[in-house]
Order: sequence, then C-alpha cells, then structure tokens
Amino acid sequence: MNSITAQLSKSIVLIMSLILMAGCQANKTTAIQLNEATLLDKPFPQQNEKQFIYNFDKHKVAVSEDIEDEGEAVKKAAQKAVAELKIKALRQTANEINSILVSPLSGKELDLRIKKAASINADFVDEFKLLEQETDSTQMLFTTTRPKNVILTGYFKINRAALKSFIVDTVKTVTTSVSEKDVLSVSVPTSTKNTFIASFNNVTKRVPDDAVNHEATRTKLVNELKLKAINEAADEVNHALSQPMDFDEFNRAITKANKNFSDYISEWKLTNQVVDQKNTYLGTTESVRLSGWFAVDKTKLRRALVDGRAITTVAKYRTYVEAFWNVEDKDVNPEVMSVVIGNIEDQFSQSGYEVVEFERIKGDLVELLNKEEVSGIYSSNELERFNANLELRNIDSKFENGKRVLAEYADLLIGVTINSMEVSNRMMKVRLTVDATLFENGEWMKLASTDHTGSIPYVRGDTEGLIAIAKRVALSAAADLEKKARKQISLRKTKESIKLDEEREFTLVFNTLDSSSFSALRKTVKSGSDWAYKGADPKNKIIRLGYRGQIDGLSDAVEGFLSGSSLKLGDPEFSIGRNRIIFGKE
Amino acid sequence: MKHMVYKFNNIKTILFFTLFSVGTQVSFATWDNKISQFVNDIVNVNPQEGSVYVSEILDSSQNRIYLPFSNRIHEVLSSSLIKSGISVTNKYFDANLVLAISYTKSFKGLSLYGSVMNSEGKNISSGSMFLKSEALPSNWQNRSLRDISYEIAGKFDEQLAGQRVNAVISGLTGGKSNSDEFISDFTVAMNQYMVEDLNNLPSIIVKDKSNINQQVNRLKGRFRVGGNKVNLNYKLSKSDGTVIATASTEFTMSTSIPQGMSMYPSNKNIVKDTFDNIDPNEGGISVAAWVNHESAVYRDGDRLEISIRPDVDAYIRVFYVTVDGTICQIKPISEKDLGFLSAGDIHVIGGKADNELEELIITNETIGQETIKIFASLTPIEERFLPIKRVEGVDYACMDDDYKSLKIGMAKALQKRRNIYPVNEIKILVK
Repeated sequence: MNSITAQLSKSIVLIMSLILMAGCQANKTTAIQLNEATLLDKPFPQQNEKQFIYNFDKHKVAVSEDIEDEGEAVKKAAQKAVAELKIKALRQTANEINSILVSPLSGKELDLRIKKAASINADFVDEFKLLEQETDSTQMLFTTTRPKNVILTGYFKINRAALKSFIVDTVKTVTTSVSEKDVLSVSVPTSTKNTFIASFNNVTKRVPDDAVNHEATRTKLVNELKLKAINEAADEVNHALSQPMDFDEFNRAITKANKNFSDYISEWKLTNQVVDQKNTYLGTTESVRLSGWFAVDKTKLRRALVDGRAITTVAKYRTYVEAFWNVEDKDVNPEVMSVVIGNIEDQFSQSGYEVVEFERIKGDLVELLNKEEVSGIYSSNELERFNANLELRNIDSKFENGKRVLAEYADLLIGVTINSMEVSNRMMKVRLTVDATLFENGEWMKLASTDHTGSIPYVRGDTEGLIAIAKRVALSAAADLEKKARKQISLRKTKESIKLDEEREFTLVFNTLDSSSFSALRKTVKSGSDWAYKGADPKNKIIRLGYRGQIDGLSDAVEGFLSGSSLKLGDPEFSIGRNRIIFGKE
Repeated sequence: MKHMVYKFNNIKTILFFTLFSVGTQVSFATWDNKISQFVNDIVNVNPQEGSVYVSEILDSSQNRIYLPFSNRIHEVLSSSLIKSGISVTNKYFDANLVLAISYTKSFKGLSLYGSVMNSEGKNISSGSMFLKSEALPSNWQNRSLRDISYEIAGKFDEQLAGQRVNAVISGLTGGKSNSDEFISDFTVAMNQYMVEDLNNLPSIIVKDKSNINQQVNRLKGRFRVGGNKVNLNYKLSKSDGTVIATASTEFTMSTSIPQGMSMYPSNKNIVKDTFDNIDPNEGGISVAAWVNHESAVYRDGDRLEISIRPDVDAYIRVFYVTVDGTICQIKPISEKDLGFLSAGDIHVIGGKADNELEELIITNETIGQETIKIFASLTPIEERFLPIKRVEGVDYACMDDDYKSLKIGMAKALQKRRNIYPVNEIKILVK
C-alpha cells in the first residue's frame, strides 16, 4: 500500500515538470547573413530565349545532427540543397530542350546526360542567386536550439544553348573522293530481262575506333553491298524459275559467285560516299555512308546457281504418282488411299513439279486395254470403281511394257506403297514406302526411296484419325523423298550439263515404214541439228530425240527436215502434254 | 480404482471418435472420387501447358470385353481433369499429353491402369488402382445384348481398320451342341443389333443378301450355351471360305438376356432333326439364296418369297421344312419340270412373277423355326427317287417321311453312296 503511494507521487512530479517547460517555450526564426544582399532582387527574373530560369522558394534541406559543429552542419546542408536545386534546374531545362528536338532522346538517355551535365564542371549556369537564406532554429527561454533545416529561396539562370549542345551530338559530314561526274549521275538504271539492278542509298558503316583511316571500312561496306546485290539478284532468279531451292547450296553458290563477282557484276557505281563525324560528349565517332548501284548479269548468275545445285529446275519433270496397296488379302479403304495419293501429288506440285493427273490420262489407258479388264471403271459400286481405278493407276504392272507406256506420260514416277495399316497394341499404325524413278536416256532409273511410319491411338470407327495419320505419314514421306530426289536430279544435271532451256526426250513413231525405210530414216534423222538423237527401236519403228521446246515445234522441225526425202511419213499426230509423235497413224 | 476407470473411459471415447471419423472418410471416398484422385495423381501438368487427350478406356485382358461402365469412368476422368483446370481435347493431334487408361475385370472388382504420354509417345507417368466391387455401382458388370453386339462389331473394326470390306450377314445360329443350328428371338435380336453396329463402322459395308456374289464376304455367327454362360463366335470369310476376321465373347444369360427372350425356337425338338451344318462357302455348286424379309422373321399373313441364283447352270430342287417337320417340295412344282436354272438368273419362288407357285403365305397356326433347303446338281435330279407324294390340285408335293428319308432319296437320285447335303439353306422364324 505504501509503495503505491510513492509511485503516484513520482508521476505527479513528472507531469508538473512538463507543464512548466511548456510554459517557458517561444518559437523564433533567426535571419542569417551570408554573402548575398537580402531581398533586393525580388521578384524572380523572367524566362528568355537564351536562359531558362529555375526558381526555388523556401526550399528546405535537413541539417545533419551527426556533424557536431553547427555552422559546418548548416553549410553542408546548404551545399546539398544547392546541388539538388542545380540538378532540378538542369533537368527542367533539358526536358524543355528535348521536347523540341526532331529526334528527342529517350527518358533514360536524357537522364544520363543530365546527371553527367550536373557532375562536370561545365558552364551551363549563367547565374545563381539566393534571395533568402534561413534556418529554423527555435528560441528557448534562455537559449537557441540547433536548426533542423536550412531554408533557401532563389533562382538559377541556365544557358539554353550550352546545355543543348551538350545534350545533342553534332555531326560533321566530310565528303570524300567523289568525282563531280559521279555525284551528278545519281539516276539509277532499271532492271531488264537479263540484268538485275541493286541500288542502295545512304548505307552507313561505323569506322572502327582503332582504324587509322576510313578506307578499309569503305571497302568492306562496298563488299557487303556487292554480296547483298548478288543475293537479291539470286532471289529474283529463283523466284522467276519458281523452283525448289536448297538453302545451304544456295548460300554456298552465292558466296562462290561473290568471290568471282566480276563474272556476274557487269557494272557498278557509287553515287555518293561520305564520312560522317559524330561529335558527342563522350568523344567523336566516324561512319562511312555510301549510295550507288550494282548491275548483276542474271543469265550468268542463273547458270552458276543451277550448276552449283542451289536451284533445281524440276518443273520440266512430269510427275506421276502410282499407288500400291501392298497388304495381301485386305481391301483398301478408298478414302485413305485417295488422301495418300492426293497429298503426295500436292507435295510435289507445290515443290514445282508438273504433276500428271490420272484423270487426264485415264481415257488413253482404258483405250489401251481390253474393255473387259477395266469393267470396274464404269461400275456403279463405288468400291469396285475405286479398286479398278487403283489397278489402272498401276500402269507399270497393269500394262505390258508398262514402264514404256508410263514414259509417254511422265518423266518422274513416284511409287507409293502402303505396307501396313493395322491396329497393334491399341495403336493404329500406318507404314508406307515412297520411291522416285526417273526416265532418262530411255531407261527408268531409281533415284531415291524412303520409308515412313506413324501411329495414333485406335478409336473404334474413327476414319478421321486414320486419315489424319495417313496424311501425316504421306506428307512427311513425300517431303523427305522430294529432297532426296531433287538432290539426285541436280547431281545428274551437273554430270550431263543439261542446258537451261530444258531439253526433253520425245518419241517419234513411224508405223507406216518398212524396215529398210526406217533404217534410212534413222540415219537421216541422226544428222539433224535441231535435236539430239537419243536412240531408236527398229522393231517398233521408234526414234527417240532430245529437243528443247514444245512438241509442235519438234513436229514441224522433223517434217521440214524430212520434206526433201522420198520417204512417205504420213501426217504427224500428237497431243500437248505428251511427248509422242505418231507419223502416219493408221 | 475409481480414478483408473475414469481414465479408461476417456480412452474409449477418443477411440470411438477416431473410428467414427475414419468410417466417415471411407463412406465419402466414392468410386468416382477415387478415380478423380487417381487421375490427379498421374496427370501432373500445368493447366497452362496445354491439353490432354483421354483415350478410349479398354479391357486390357485377352477377352477384350466391352464394359459400358467404362464410359462412365471416361466421363469421370475427363470431368476431373477439367475441374483441375486442365483442358481436355478429343483430337489426338491437338493434345500435348495422352492419358491412356485400361482395365481388367474380376469378381472382386475392377483394376485400372493409367499411363500418361507426351506428344512424342514417351511415357511420363503411370499408375494403377483397384476398385472393389462393393464400392462400385451394383450394375457395373452388366452388359446388354446391345453391348455385346457393340463389342463384337468393335473387334471386327479393330482387325479391319484401314480397310473397307463388303459383307452379307448370314446370321447367328447355335444351341447347346456344336451341331445345333437353332434360331430364336435371341438370334433375331443379335442379327438386328449386329447390322446396326456394323453399319456405324467405316470398315464394313453391310449388304443385303440379294447382293451376295463372289466378291461379297459372309459374316456368320454361332452361339453355344453352357449352363448360364453363352459363348458367341463370329467369322467373316470370303466366298471361297478364307477367313478374314473373327470375333468372340462370352456372357452370362441371367444378366444379358432380357426377361422373356427365348434362346431356342418353340419347335426345338422337331427342328433339331433337320440340321445339316452346311457351309455354302465349301465347294460344290454355289447357289445364292435369300428371302424377302431380311430379318427372316415372319408373322401371320406375311408373304414369303424365296430368291435363288445359281452361279452355274444347275438343276435345282427346293424343299420347305415346316414348323411341325412336314417337308414339301416348292421348286419345281411340276413333275415334268427338272428344275433347271441358268447361271446368274434369279428365280423367285412365291414371287408375284412366279408362274409356277401361286404364293407362299405364312400363318400362325404353328410357330417356330422353319427351313428352306436347296439341293442342286449339274445333272437332273430324278423325282422318282424322292419320297414325295403329289396331290392333284396342290401346287407343291409333300412327303410323309422325315428329312433323313429325303436325303437318302436324293442320294439315290444322284446315284451317290455318300450323304447328300443341300447346297444352301435358309432358316426363318415364324412368330
């Protein structure tokens, strides 16, 4: 009980002391004298075109309590306040300058430069004036408290021009070694059938900092532009040919062409060449800037690309897709087979090959066969009709001398064999083999083949999934085969130096001639200069010729060539899209 | 002592609460919750990473039975994934992951096996679980005849995937022994379901019997009853007998056969004496035969038309075995007629254009299985050897003797010592 009373008494004493202290306090602002005359320059100066005025009014900065000496602490606070204000002044000025630039600096870049401007001892500040300098020390009963803040009022006058030249880099252009004639002939020639013009305007390249002069950079830039010109010309050549391109080979051929550029670049001109010197606050940089054009010989370049196997001219290959269902005792689903054939045809068609549509030749094939053999072709039963068509498609196996018959319609044969289509471990699996055979010099030559497999979970009655996987497998197999076949074709072309105007083999049939007349004819035809004699089949009265052009041109040429001879050939008959001419068809 | 009893009672209370809470958890973990948990355990995928393809849930045992309950499992699996924020696709190629679930069934319950594969087919995770029969719905094992037909058709589709084959449904026959060839409400229902299910598949095109020829395949089914179990076998063969595909299953009569559906015809005891077990594919003279009702079911007043088409020029005799076992010759009807038919010609007995026989009308005086037997020979089959009696004014000649006597007479007529069998036969059900 006694102890509680004692504690209460202590509290009362403390409260009374606090009340007494409060009653003795009085606030006081003390004016301090620095070097400036007080209040004379008020009001603040106005903005003008040369100077940006940054005003500050009662700007407060805390006085550090860590510095024991009060005067030193006030001075440090004042220095800090001025530094802050200077940055703000420069920032506002810089922002205003940046807002009117054609290419304003980004916020980050501008900030960097402002900080740099504030840190260097450059003369961006025309005038700095303090109009008021105060501290907020408090006057106590018998003493003055240490000030908590320094309070400043005044302005900065920032030199707009000086700051702008610091922010914006200046560029000095030095025109070098350009003849008056070149500068005047700035008009660029236009591309023609045989010449591709690659023009460029103000293309720049930085001169390395350690370069003795800019000559090496200029040479390098000219070389780069030359390669670019050849590349652009090659692209145009390829586009015009619309042929598949092997990118690796293409790049290799371009590099090779660039090395021997004088073979392909018939003319070139620099219409402007300058060195830009860019002065920045960090130093001066140099760039070479060029304008001009290159003329590229497209014919020579095309030959180089084809010879270099960068471009494979496959359009001349009439391609026929033959399908086989190689699963004994199983009946093919027509939808699946159609999808497989269709997708392989599309793949080759998109790659530039001329795909021979079965429908186009079906009539001819039916005519060649005994009608009874193809009765299913006309069946009202869809499945029977499909199977008969599928069988007929297999020209090679269906016809005696199938390969020879096939050669009448196609140069490239794509064989598609479905090896299996079955469910195994609840997965629907499709495996097919595709191969490519080329008709060349009267023979079918195997080019390439590939085997592809795909699977999908088996779903009862799901034709959609089956077709999807069949399509995927067909497309991947066709893409793979096309790549392999193209490579083989391009290798053959290199070996045989096939001319770019695309020679094709034609078959001439002379049914009405007897053996001796045919022999005489063969000798005569062999001497012809408009075609290349490829061989003969005396038994069937056939002569094979290589000819660059259309079938009608060859027919006219042969007729004209043989018009003086005593041989009675009869009228030639042929149809476009095939390469067989029958003289004197009975 | 009192103090100790108090403590012991406390322990019992705690134990009771523990047991009660465990019991509650068990009762809440229903089969679908367990499956959800199972799928969430094995499918560990970020919902943003893509979608999951849930493959069909199939029996991984050798029997490969179709359990309709598997569809409910599929639904639970899919909705569980969706609830977890995982997208489920029904397109395999759109999926990043494939969830494959299979099951095996036993008396004790259902075992589920799951595996998750990525789009390259690499196995990412797998697991299995067992659902006790008591935890599953009471009807989880049930399979209706429809389900059985669905299973058989599916088994054919699996073997014929990627193909498109024509087939004529020759029908289902059977009984307790291998030689039984009964038809009944059960076989009629199965025939109908099979046609419907096969028609829904791309691999088989069901043709009606009039289209039967050398290019069309035959689908024939046989059932065998053993106690409460029924064994079902179907065979798809070419016209030369080459088997293309087979499918079989077994089911329990008590759960799969609807109440009131008979497995045998009402004249079971009479008709069993007329079984020949012939296979029209097996050599001999090929004569296609079909009736005007594809289902082969006839009711009172129905007109019966029998079409026959020999593949070679042949002498043909057609007999009708009625419900009560009476046998009558319905082609030819005249004694002078030798029954010659040209190859490929379709002759319709009882048809409107049939000048010989007026018509065949079915009556319901007796109901059950009836058979049309077709005998064929390259030489004439002389009637004098056959045990038939002609009655003036009646279109057809019947016989008093049984079917066995007819076959003996046929052997004599053809001067053969061995048994003579019909080249084809049609079974019809009169209801």
